[in-house]
Amino acid sequence: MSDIFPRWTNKIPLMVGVAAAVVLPTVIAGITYYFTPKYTRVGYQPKQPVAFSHAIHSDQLGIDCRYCHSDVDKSWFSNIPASETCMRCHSIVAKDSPKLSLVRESYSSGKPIPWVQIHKTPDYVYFNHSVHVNRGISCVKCHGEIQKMDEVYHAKPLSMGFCLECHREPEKHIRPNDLVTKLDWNGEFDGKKAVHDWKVQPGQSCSTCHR
Amino acid sequence: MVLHRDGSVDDGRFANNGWLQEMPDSITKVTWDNVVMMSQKTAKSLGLPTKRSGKIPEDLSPAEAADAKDGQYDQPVVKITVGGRSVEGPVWIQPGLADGTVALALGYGRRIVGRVGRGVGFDAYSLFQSTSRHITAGKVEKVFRKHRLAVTQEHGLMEGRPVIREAHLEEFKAHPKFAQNMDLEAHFPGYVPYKEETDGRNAEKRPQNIYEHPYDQNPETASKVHQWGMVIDLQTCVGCSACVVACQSENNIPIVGKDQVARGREMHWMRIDRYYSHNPEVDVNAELAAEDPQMAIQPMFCQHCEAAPCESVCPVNATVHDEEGINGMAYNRCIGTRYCANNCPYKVRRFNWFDFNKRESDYGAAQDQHLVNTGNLYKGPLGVNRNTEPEWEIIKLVKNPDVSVRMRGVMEKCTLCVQRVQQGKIAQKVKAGNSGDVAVPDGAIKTACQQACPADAIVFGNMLDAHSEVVKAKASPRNYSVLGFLDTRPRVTYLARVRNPNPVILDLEKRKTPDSQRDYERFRHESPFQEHSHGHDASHQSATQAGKGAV
Amino acid sequence: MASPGKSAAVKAPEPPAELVRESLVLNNRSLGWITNAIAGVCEKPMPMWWWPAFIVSVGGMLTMFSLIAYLVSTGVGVWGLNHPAAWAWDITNFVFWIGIGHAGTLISAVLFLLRQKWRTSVNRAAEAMTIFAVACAGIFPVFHTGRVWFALLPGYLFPAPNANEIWPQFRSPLLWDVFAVSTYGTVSLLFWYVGLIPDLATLRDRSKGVMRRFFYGLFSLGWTGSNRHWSNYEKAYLLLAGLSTPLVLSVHSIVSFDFAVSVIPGWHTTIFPPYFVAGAIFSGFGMVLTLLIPLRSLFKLEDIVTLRHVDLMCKVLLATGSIVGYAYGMEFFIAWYGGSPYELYAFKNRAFGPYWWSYWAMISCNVISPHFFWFKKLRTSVVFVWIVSIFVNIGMWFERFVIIVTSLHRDYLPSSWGYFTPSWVDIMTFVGSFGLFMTLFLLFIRFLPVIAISEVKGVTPQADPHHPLGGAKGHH
Repeated sequence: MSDIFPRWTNKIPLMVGVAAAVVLPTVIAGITYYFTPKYTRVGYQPKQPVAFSHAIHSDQLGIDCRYCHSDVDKSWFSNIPASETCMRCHSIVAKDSPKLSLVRESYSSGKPIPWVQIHKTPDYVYFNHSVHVNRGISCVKCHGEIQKMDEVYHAKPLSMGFCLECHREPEKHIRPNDLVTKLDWNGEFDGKKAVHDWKVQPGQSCSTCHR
Repeated sequence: MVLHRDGSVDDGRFANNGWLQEMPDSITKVTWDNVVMMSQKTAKSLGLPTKRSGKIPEDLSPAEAADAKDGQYDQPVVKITVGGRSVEGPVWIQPGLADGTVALALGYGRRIVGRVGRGVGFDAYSLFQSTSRHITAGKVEKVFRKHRLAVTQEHGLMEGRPVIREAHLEEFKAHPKFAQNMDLEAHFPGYVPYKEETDGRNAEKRPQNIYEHPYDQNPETASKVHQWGMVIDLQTCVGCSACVVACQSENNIPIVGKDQVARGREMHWMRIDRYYSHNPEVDVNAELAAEDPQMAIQPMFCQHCEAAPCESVCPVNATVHDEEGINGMAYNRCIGTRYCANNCPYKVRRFNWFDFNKRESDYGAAQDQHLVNTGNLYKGPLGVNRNTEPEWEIIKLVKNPDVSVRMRGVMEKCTLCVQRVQQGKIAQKVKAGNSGDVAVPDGAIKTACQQACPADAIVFGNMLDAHSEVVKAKASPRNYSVLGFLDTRPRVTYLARVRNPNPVILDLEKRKTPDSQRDYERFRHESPFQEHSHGHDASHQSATQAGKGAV
Repeated sequence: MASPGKSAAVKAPEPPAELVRESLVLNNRSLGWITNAIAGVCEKPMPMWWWPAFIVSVGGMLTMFSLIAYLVSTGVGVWGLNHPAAWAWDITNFVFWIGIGHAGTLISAVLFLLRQKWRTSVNRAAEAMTIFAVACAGIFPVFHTGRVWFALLPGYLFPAPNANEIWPQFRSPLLWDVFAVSTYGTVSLLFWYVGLIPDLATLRDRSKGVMRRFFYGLFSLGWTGSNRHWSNYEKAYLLLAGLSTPLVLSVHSIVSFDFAVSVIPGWHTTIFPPYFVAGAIFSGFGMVLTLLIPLRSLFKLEDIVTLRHVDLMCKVLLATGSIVGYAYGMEFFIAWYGGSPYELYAFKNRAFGPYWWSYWAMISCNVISPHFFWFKKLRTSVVFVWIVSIFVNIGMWFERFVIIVTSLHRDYLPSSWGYFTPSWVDIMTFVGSFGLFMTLFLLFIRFLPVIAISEVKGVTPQADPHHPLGGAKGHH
């Protein structure tokens, strides 16, 4: 028998097998980690045209979320406020600050400030803010600790799995309705009783969000 | 010669409305064209072939002759001349039309109209003269060419299957539950009456099933607050198809154009089925009886079966049952294997064969009376996209933002307007806040079809609400489900029709029982007006012989 | 044993004459002759007809690929499908090709476990046919989906953990198909490859060119022909045969579940699994004969693939064809006996409705033609057998077409009754799949031994050391 291949090639099948056993799970794990919203979306922190700080307004000053995001409990969409809302205070407070020049310009010209949207679900997902906000789900559940953010970043993955976690066990995430916008609240609450009394039945089937 | 306003484009004012052009005519089910309607006898006398083969089968009733041949309606064209002016149009065998009468709809064949309507159909207005107007006399001659029609329903007979159930008023009074005593579910001993005191699901006979119902297996999956159901009253439905168009507008259903409808690919989620029935035994002159068929109509759409055959065969879980009884469809999950459409016994699922929303349709602007087929859909990425059209911004505004716009390759079907259901539930929950008052009051949610129906034939509501309209309707003895023996347990049920014709127009001696009922008895050798014994016995008699005090 | 005292030897009785079996290799060919005959096919330059055949096949294959690209870019509507017939040629072709594959596995695996020595002349080509048929088959279920790019993505059809926390639906027969067909393809490929190893080594040792030596050497995995190698080989072969055998029955049963699990009249019958498996073996043997009869003549392998082999395969055709014919009759009987008017109509429609021509084509090709093989004269007339094998495959294609389209186009509600007409894309895609099949098969003929050299040699009398001709004694 002629020697076509050198002796070390005898080990090739073993090497291939070991490589497959090591590489394949690594690749799958990698894809599962890197290609899911937990990695791709969490941490997204775009530069906004105006350096609005939730930490100052929400935490320090204690302004309620709904002062600016006024339609969050009425509609599916949580609106960014019009410049007029900003100017209610900033016509007096820091009224000449260069950081707010875009706001003043927007208010006088009527052109909206080009805020960069951070949280966006795909077109085939129909999410409704009002039903969550009115039924004991706080902003922090999906937006993270906004009150601590100087610059807002995407704190939660907002993948379907993330939504299902709460939809499957609402009692773990629910709080009294009047405390929904109290973002730093950390108290005890009988979620099970609330789910029972309020008849909280978040849908788990597809037509809940996909239509 | 009768010239009438069309059921969809009226006198022509809606000729540029794609929805109305594609809406199947209430009786003929023809889309995108008007047809020269005549009876089979009239067609024969003109020497017209009623089937593509050119021969007129002697024993074919008009209803059977009106069927498609191999899926196509390639109709011979005739020329109608009235007072020196003439119009050509394709022949349509209309069962029940008086002999010697020819009817043609106005409003088609417009030349100066938008892109959609130009070249569609045949202009009857030239025959419409101030001296004769709608009813006139004319001459009909053969023209040696054919015209292909796009028709949505190819077969107009029920074949003895009790899809639509009817009885005469007196028969109904004697046997109020006749509709629940038909088809296989009445015949087999294994079928037991359903317990009517539970959560209000279908209250008629149901087979004893060796498989446990999903809601019984996992009772916690079913919502205790809402269980949606719907009832269609066949008594009041007139077949106007307003529901079809309302559904189309609500759910962003595209129009596909004449060529695609001719291939059987219309996208309507709802359809109005129209069946003819006749009973040859009725008169000595069978031909005469056949020329006076009865017609029955039935809106058909997703029945939202509790044990849906479509759900168990989808390999990716794109169609699942929600907790409230709606069979939902997740378009983003669908990979388009089409097994669900094959397994649906009602054939109500519609597949997006092309990018009907993204690409321009197949029709093109025509200079003369003929629609030009550009074949744009078949060009795929090399074709013209709608977003290059000047009207794109307006086209976008037509769409309902609460419903996805589907791309090619996904399956769709009636969702019981789940977007409206969700909106209703959300509004109620927002109002309820931290209370348990989450049940939507009856009538707050109306599906699009229900909203549009001029006869209020559609009733939708929560079956757990004891006072809702839908519960009252389902409690009616006329309530039945189509193909109930399959044990699909549809949430959409129908109220059987009761006929009470004036004896002056119909010979009650011979034709009291509606023809479809007689057809059923003739095919199946059994009658709902007779008690069915457990176990098959050979002595089933038809109602004509059963004057023996049968219950 | 003679006792020491006795002088006359006791004559031991003569052993009975050995039962004369029809030899599997004719004309007493030596082992060397067999090797030369088979290896010579891929060592010598290809005969004249190979190149035009290859070009035509590649043309067909490229046609199919381009039409698939057209399909994926434009939409499933380029096929003739509609409502109600949402499946027609696509699934017919899938079941057709997958069914053909089953014969190869039966010959390789089942006949091996049943110790049928005659399988050795045909198993290599048959198993190659299986793999190529599975390749052709796999294209159809993948590309018939409306959104292929999602169908292939893990998480949709292939279970994979994903951020949507959703799994495929395991109750769906289409998903069972995914597992069944991929398992079948993998196991068949492995089985075929393992069987090839000694023959590849033979070719390696005979090869002259560097490229040939490298590739045959690479794929023969260092085979030396030692006892240990042979022992491992036999064990692996037996294991794989054991694994493949249940696949012969299960894979096509699962494919039949695509229909049997549904509610459509004409589909929802329990006879489908055995009926489909028998039909698959029937069509597969038909295709094996279609391929092997010309092959044996063109490459002068008639002494190895003998008339006895053809005869035996025709008997299998007769048996499975009879099962298929029985199944047709039984379906109809149960439709009548069961009393469901819908089921009965489905069968009346098959025979007398708009697709009556396809039904009668099916009946004449599948029910009538195998019964010619009651007669030995016809079983051993290769021209006749080849013609019948073509008809068998035509008939089996029509069988799937009849099952799918006639049941779909007229089911429960008469208002939804329709008609299906294939478009040119349907037709050319199917023709192109033959192009792909023949391309692969022609390449197989060119580069690989079409008959299992070592296995055929193993069943000749020369291979048996106790045989007068065998072992070291017999040589030509």
